[in-house]
Amino acid sequence: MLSFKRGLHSTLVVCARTKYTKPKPKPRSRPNVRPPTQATHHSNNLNITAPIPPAVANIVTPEDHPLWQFFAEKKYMRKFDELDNDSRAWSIAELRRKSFDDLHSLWYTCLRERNILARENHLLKNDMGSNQDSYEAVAEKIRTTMWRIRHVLSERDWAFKRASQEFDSQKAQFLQEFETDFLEAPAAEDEESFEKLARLQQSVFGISEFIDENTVDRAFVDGMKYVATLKLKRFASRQDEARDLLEQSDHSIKDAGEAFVIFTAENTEAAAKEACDVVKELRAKNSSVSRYEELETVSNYVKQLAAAQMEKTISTGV
Amino acid sequence: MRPTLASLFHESPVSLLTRPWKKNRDGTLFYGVSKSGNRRTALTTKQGNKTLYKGTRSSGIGKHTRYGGYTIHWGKVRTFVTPRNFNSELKPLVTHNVPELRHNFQGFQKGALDAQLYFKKLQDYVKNGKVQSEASDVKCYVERG
Amino acid sequence: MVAPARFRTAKWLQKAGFAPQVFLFRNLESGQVIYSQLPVFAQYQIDAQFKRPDWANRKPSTRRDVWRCMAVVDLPNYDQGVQLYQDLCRLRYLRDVLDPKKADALRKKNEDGHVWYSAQYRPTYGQEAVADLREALSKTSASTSQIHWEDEWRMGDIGRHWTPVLPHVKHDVLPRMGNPAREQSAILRALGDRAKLAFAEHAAANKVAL
Repeated sequence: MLSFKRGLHSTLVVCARTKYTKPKPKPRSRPNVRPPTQATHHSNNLNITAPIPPAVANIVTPEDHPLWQFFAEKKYMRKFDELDNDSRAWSIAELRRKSFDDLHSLWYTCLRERNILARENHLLKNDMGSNQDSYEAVAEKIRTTMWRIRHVLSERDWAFKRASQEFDSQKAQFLQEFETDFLEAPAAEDEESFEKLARLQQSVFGISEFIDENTVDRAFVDGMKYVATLKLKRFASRQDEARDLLEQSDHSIKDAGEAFVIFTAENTEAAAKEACDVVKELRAKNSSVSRYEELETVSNYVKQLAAAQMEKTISTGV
Repeated sequence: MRPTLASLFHESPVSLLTRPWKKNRDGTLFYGVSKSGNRRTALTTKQGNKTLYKGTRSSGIGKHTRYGGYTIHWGKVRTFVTPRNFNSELKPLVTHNVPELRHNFQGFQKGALDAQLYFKKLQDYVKNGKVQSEASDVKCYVERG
Repeated sequence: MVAPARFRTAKWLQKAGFAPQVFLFRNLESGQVIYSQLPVFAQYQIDAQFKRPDWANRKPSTRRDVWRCMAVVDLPNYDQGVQLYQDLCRLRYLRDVLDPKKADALRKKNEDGHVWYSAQYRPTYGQEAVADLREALSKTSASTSQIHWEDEWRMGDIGRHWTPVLPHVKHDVLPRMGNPAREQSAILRALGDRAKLAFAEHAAANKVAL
């Protein structure tokens, strides 16, 4: 019989297994023992190995990588003598001769070149610790080109604004001069004269030669009437119908419908004659476009004509 | 402006100009990198009047909403329009062998901005169409404009 | 997330719909690496894998923006996946606790004799993780496995370091279209789906063979 006393020391002595102690019976075998859920264990033969450094050689840069735009000829850095040290910036006068598209492209070319130079200059200053500024000098020249581009564009804008302010007073005289020139040209120069007329209607009234590019506004209608009158006057010396029509309509076409018919006719005598006949028919029917409905009517006409032309080109194309 | 100190009269003019600054033998300043000091740094929030705007106004793309969201106002987002017909033949600089072209605007007082010049050009255009001016020849270096 | 907050057995992984994969995440700030059984991680992994933090090897935070997936390892079955994870953790334990001197001798040092660093970043941890991955893979019995790296740079020189030891391991790069940092979870999910399909096919083929 065990006698329990308090205290660890005595308990330990009492519980200790000696040769006289009876062994515990084995536990009974259980019928349904769940197998362990975790079967694997880490390996015991693992070694510490040296770190594997990353390899730059694995990376292949594509030829058209966009960041190549920051490198000149895919070089890390150009040498001093490879730089364009002698060349000068574009002068303002040279830039004045360029179109807007050219100036726009030149601007972006300059920008790219300055990006390259800034990168190289940064490397020079920070990585190599040099205090030379030859990259900076070239970049400064390009900067000059760039401000000059902006100067020229602003100059163009101001010139246009000022000229359009003054043009209201000058317009009548300008058109008068053109008319005399236009009417004095001999009949043999018909083609050139009508090309001039096309340029005039484009630059003064903003009427494009391609009918579907136009938006109909007051300037368009006025220009159309002016052009129609000029056309009639041009053929008046050679054609009785045109002369009659001019005299009947007091030497200027006022009606938008009639103007549209003559304006869209081809620039030949036969076509002019046809147009005159149509106008006469219109007058016989007494159909005229009122001044208040001009824009709407003409834009409808323009749409119809453009649609007809589209159909025609499609059918001929097929 | 303060007068030159009499005790410095024997110094060279160059050293007088850089008087308050000692220089190393290679010409760089002994102390600091510029003579004007560092007064050109951006203002911080601790400087200036409390209503003084010290930012750059560079990122005002939209508005903060309530509850911490942000709506972008696409009208304020900057876009870069690249040329549609890129002309890659143009280079940023011009060779130094070509003399600089000059425009003298003879007969037009206001130069490039003169309205009469504009009308003249318009007239020429109507008369002749698009024609290269004489300056497309390299040898021509003065033009009316 | 609760799922990675304890050790997961092979059976659990299969039942919960995960693929037999092991994931490596690296810290952008410090360069430390976490191994995980799932495409996410939790404080549990950090506690388990950084047993001896010191000033050069701090216990990293769970901030999700500084962790990126460094590699995903596809294995043929779940048991091997679990064992690879155990091996990786064991290797980390060897390096940190059992034999830190040996691990330290292999590291690149700066002039003060500390592990080389730039600001908070110690590149050696990432490189050690790559070495451990190779060691662990070579000790598992996996016949075929595939590693999807975040980029070609990270895997190191394949001809020198990988092919002599593990000729059957396939190396691959995670898809990088769009913004991989933002779409990481979607990318990993797609990878997991593909790996599950491959495992199912493999199992079906084995059944037919048997």
